[in-house]
Amino acid sequence: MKISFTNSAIALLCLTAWGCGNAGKPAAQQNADTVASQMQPTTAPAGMVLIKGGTYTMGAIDSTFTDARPLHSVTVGDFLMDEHEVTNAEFAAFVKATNYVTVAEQALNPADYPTVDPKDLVPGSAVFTPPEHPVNLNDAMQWWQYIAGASWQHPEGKNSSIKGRENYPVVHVCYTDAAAYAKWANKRLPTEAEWEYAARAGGGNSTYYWGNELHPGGKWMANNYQGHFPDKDLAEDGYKGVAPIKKFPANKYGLYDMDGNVWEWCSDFYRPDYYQHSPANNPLGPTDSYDPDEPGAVKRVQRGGSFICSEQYCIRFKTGSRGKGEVSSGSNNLGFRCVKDI
Amino acid sequence: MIENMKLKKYFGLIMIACLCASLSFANGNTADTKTPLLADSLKKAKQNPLAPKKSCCKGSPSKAKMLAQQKKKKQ
Repeated sequence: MKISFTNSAIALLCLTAWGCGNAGKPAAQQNADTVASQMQPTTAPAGMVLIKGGTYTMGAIDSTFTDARPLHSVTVGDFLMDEHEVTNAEFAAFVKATNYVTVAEQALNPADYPTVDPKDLVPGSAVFTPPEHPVNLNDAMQWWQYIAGASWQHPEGKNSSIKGRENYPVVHVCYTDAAAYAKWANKRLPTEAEWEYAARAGGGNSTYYWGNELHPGGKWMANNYQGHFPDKDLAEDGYKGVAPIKKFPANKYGLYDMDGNVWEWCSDFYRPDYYQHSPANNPLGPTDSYDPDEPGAVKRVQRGGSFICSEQYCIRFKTGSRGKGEVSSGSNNLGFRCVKDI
Repeated sequence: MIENMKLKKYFGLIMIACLCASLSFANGNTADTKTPLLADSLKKAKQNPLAPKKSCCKGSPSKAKMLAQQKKKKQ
């Protein structure tokens, strides 16, 4: 009796000590431990990464990004994610298999553009066209041009081609195109919450997804813009414009180019106020979209920024920040990657 | 023998009290696991004086906007 009594006391003391020890850890450390224990990878199909679900603080720490506030706790489940953005070669396989014609290649319906001269309604897409001199940064039309004939096969217009660019991310794909590809591939587009969880890769609220320095130790971590925007791209990261996939370090989950290179479509409708009432578990986005900058346009979320993001302009490549785009519009800095349910 | 029984009784009571205290402490803490993280983030956000004053892009341009702009440029 005495022995069993002493044993119980010792067990109890151990239990108490363990409980206190764990509870005494800072919450962030506990969270980091949880994330560490959930680190990838185990098994995933080729080209995809298994993302073990978890809970994180979603949103931008920088209050400038009013549409990415408030910070809020979100839980996502397990899913598989493409390790890189969908490439021209992959998209070509989809087109070959289905004869799919992207929206940028289709004739435009005059009824959709009542204020535009029908003569101007030619298939095409938006191409980043840097001016030769500094311009007013409040007017994006100074560096964007609608180029007739621009499409995924002709990224800079009808005289350009993707030959030799098979491992570049496909561009000029609007939401409709991206969703069609995903369906064909038996995948889907990520929710915004999934995308951010994967981009953070267990990290905290650092300025950038990889840390607080833009180029730690002189190393460029993503394809962004260096120089005076938009007229002088110094290409210090090695690339003017879009880069091939996997030229910059992967994040801790093994995902490439989550930041920079091209924006990536997410499945959520865009609303700037969504975070004020979004659900905590696997949020799927609001049921409709609203963008006060362009009321009436149906918009979905885009994430990650692109090769024209810099500290000077388009700072929405920073951790937690959000982008948005009209669902039938593409550009040469916009692509996507897919996810798959487990 | 009686003294021994009393001792066991008191010790048992102390053990139960310890167990209750430790459980309530651990419980309170785990329930709040997420909250301090959020609070930390918010605190950090408040302290961040580096909120960029620079231009912030409005997202990729919509086709309708671009086409309308082309018409303006022509005029």
